[in-house]
Parts: sequence; C-alpha cells; structure tokens
Amino acid sequence: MSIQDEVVQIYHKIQKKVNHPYLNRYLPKPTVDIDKILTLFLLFKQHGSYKNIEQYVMSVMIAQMGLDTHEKITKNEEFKGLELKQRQLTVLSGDFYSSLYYYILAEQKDIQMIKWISQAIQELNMHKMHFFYAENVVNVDYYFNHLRQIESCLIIKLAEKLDINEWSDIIADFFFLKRLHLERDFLDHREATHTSYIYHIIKGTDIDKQNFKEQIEDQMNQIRKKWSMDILPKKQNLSKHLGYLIDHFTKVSQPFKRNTLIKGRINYADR
Amino acid sequence: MTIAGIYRTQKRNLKDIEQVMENLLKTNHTTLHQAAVDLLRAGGKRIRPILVMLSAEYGNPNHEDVKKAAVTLELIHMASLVHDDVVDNANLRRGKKTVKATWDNRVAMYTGDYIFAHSIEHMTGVQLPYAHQLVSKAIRDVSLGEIEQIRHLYNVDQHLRHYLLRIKRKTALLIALSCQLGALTAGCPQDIVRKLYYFGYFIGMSYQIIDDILDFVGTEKQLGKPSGSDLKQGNITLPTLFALSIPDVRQRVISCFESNDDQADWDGVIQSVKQSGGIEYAESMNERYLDKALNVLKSLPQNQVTENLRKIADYLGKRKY
Repeated sequence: MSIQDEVVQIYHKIQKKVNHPYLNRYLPKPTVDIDKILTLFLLFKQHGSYKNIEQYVMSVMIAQMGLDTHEKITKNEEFKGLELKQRQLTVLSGDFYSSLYYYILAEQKDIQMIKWISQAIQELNMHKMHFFYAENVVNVDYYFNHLRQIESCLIIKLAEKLDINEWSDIIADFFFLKRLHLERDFLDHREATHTSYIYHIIKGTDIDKQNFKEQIEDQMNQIRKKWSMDILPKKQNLSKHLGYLIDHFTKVSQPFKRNTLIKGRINYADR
Repeated sequence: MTIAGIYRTQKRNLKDIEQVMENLLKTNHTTLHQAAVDLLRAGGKRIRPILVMLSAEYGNPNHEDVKKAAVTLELIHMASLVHDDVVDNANLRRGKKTVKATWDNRVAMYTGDYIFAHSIEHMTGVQLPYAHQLVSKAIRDVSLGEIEQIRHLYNVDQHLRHYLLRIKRKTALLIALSCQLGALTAGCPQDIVRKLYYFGYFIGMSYQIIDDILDFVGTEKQLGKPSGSDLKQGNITLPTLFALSIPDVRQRVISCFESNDDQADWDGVIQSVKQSGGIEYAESMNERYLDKALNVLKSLPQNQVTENLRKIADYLGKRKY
C-alpha cells in the first residue's frame, strides 16, 4: 500500500473512531488535518520500531482534535436553545476525544507514549495561555513565536522523544506557514473573529491591520526563503521519509493549497 | 471509629496527596497556576483519594503506586468539574466562584485540559498496563455519560434506566474505579479488587442519588448553589422522574420547561416535586444501593478496614449536604 493510501486509511479510521451519532446531529464533523496524519505516519516509519503505527497516529491526532475542539469555546456569552446545546456538546466532545487518545494508547499498553503525549498536551496548553493571556507587554514576534509552537507542539514533542530532532524545524515551519496563510485569509476576505488568532494579536498589540498583514507576509517569505536556501538544496542528504515529507510540504505550500479528501484520495486542490 | 476518626487516620496520606497535587500544578503562567490552585484549595470531601487509600489497606497501602492512583483520580475529577462549570454556565461551586466566572470560559477550558493531561502523566508512574486500561475506559465512559446527560435534558419521557446509566457513568464509575485501583495498586488478590469495584459502584450510585435529593431539599448555603438547579437546567433526576408519573406535576414541569425562564414558576414546580413522594422514592432507591454496598462488604474479611468502609458508605449514603 502506498503512503498516500495508508494516510487515507488512517483518516477514515479516525473518523470512525470519533463517530458519535448524537454529536453528529448537532456539531459539524471534526476537522482532521491530513498533513498532520502524514507527518506523524512518516515520523513513526522513520523511527522503525513501532508496530501499530496506525493506532499511534490515531491517538495523537485524536488528542489534537480534542484540544482543537476546545478552541471553539471562547467568551462568556449567554446562549439559549440550540446554540447552548451545541456549546455544551462542543466542550463534551472535546473531552470525549481527549479520553480516546488515552484509551487507544492504553490498549497498546504503551505507558511511555502516554506520558509523552500528556506532557506535550501540557506544554501546548501553556503556549495557548501565553498566547491568549500574555503577562507582560508583548509584540507581534511574541505572538508569532507562541503561535508557531501551538500549531505543531504535539508533533514536535513526539519527534524529540523519538529522537528525530532534525525534522522539528521543518515541521514547525510548515504548520506555522499553514496557519499564517489561514490567518492572512481572514484578513483578506473576512473580518477577524474572536476565534481567530489574529484577532488576539491585533487586540493585544493595537497593530494597524495593513501593517500586520505586511508582517504576516514577511514571516511567510522568511520561511519560504529559508526553505529554498537551506532545506531544499540539502534534501538529497536526508532520509527517504523526510525527503517525502519535504516534497509534500513543498507541493502544498507553494502556492499554499488546502488538502481535501475526495473519493478516498488526497487531492491537493487549489483553495 | 467515626468518620472524623477515619479521616484522621488518613490525615497524613491526604496531606501528602494535596502536596503532590499542588506541586504538580505549579506552572510559570500566573493565571493558569492560580486557576488550578484555587480549585485545589476550594477543597471538597476528597472521597476518591480516601477510597483509594482505604481500599489499599486490604493489600500494601504503602506501595508507591497507591498514592499515584489517588492523585490521578482526584485530578481527573477536578478537571471534569472545571469543564462542567462551562457546560452548566455555573458561576458558583462549593460557594466559591468558578474558574470560568473568575476568568472566562477559555481559561476554564485550558485549565481543565492542563489538569487532565497532568493527571494522566502522573498515572504513568504506575507501570501496570491493566490499570491504564481501567482508567482510560472509565474516563471515556464518563465523557460519554456527560453527553448522554445533555441528550436527555428536558426529556420528560425518559426511563429510569436512562437515569441509572447516566449516574453510573457520571459519578459511580470514578468512585468504583477509586476502590478498584486502590486495591489493584496495593497488590490485592483479584477477588478483592473485583469486590471493591462493586462496593464502589454501589456507593457511587448512592452518592449521586443523595446529591440529586439534596438539590431539592438542601439550602443554597449548604449546596453552594441555588436549590433546584438541576431541574431548572432541564436535568431530570430521580425525584423529578418519579414526580413525572403524576399527571398534574408532569404538566407543571412541562409548562416550566416550555416557558420563558422569567415567567416559569420554578418555586412552585420544585415544591410539587418535593410533595409528590419523589424524594421518598429516591431515598428508598438510595437505601437499596447502600444495602448492596454493605452486602459486598460482608463478603470481605471482617476487620477494621471493612468496618471503615462500612462507615464511609453509611456517611456518604446518609449525608445531609
């Protein structure tokens, strides 16, 4: 089976694992980031000693989904009726997903991995607190730094624990770039809402919208430049799996394209 | 020995457990630290740690894994409370402001996730895969129970078995797990571990039924929240479930559920549930669970440990607030 087929298979298994008829009735289908599935899959492949890679990838992805789901709970707004129910179920579905990652790893009897993932979750929560509740006067770079960590913290921590550190910077760059692209899209086409990260950056720094957009572009260009100068020329010296990942990252990020799943295949369709 | 006496014998252990929890929740972010520690210091009965410690006395209570299990279960419970307050939009818990009320929902979500992750990490100090399977399955079932609770809000046609399954998942499972893990980590024989699970399950059911009764008969001061809160939020507990079998009361409950909050005669409905015999029905159900718990204890060695568990069961099943 090709890497792409295996990733698609894991995607479907995740959907099946988190499937809950009652939640489906009230909540949108949870987002599963295919790029993260692929990254995790290749990390475990690279390590080489994990037998049930599928289960491990699923557990980390579901942990990430739990945390992402809780991101939707923001202000102390008063809701009634259907909106209230959706809000309550959003909290509880996040808790359900968080319980599943532990359940899957406990079934694998991998106590060490449970420890790593729970440590990574703590660290991720710390970054979110620093991002949303900065304790000192901060600037845009401060926010970008924490945002970069938030986007890939679970995967990076795992890469460190698996002793595949050379992947960390590349992975962090890619998911940060992906986030910046999404946030820039908010600025271009939509009003920033309280659920978008840029809303907090603009609020926290009083930065002018146009100026901020330029800073986002600048960040994105810096990453692209770094890739073309430092990463891509050295690609041939890297492992097969990392090479595959870099090819994938390059393909979807220049120009940045969103992954969608069509008829069971990954299609890197234009946005 | 009295309940106070039992708590006194566990004073040292409880102090150690509190200390470990406080140390675990130290962070370099002031708000996160404050939110977690405020919750810890708000106290509570520490039922789960007490049951872990008491159950462990059938084996080796000094085994290092025992306290790890106790800390884990209390932290899991705490994490779930922080999120529950967001679900219920509650501003008060145990008479004190909730995390979401002091800060906001976002802080509550992160604090809950943070504490939960800490609890799991702490549990990894226990190198028994089976223990992790038990804990993770219980947590999964608890979260499914919470979803079921939302599903049955305002559902006046629900059956008794829906209520019982709900309180099993919501409360009894973690209490059962406390007894089970206490015995397991203390190296008790399988038979003892299994019996303690059932003891915990029965007192857990009793505990929640009493909680549901107190929501009607307790004062705001005793409860730390307004009385009748469950019904006002559409949560149909055992007294209401019984009262719904009386057509007049049923109609009044439905009217309140359907009307605007400001116009609803909640005081009148709460009063009619109290007068319907629902409280007495719930009390008799509670007695049945207590009896079952005490019957399990009869099959355990008749010693001071069992006597202490009997006292705990009696205390929890007959508490007034």
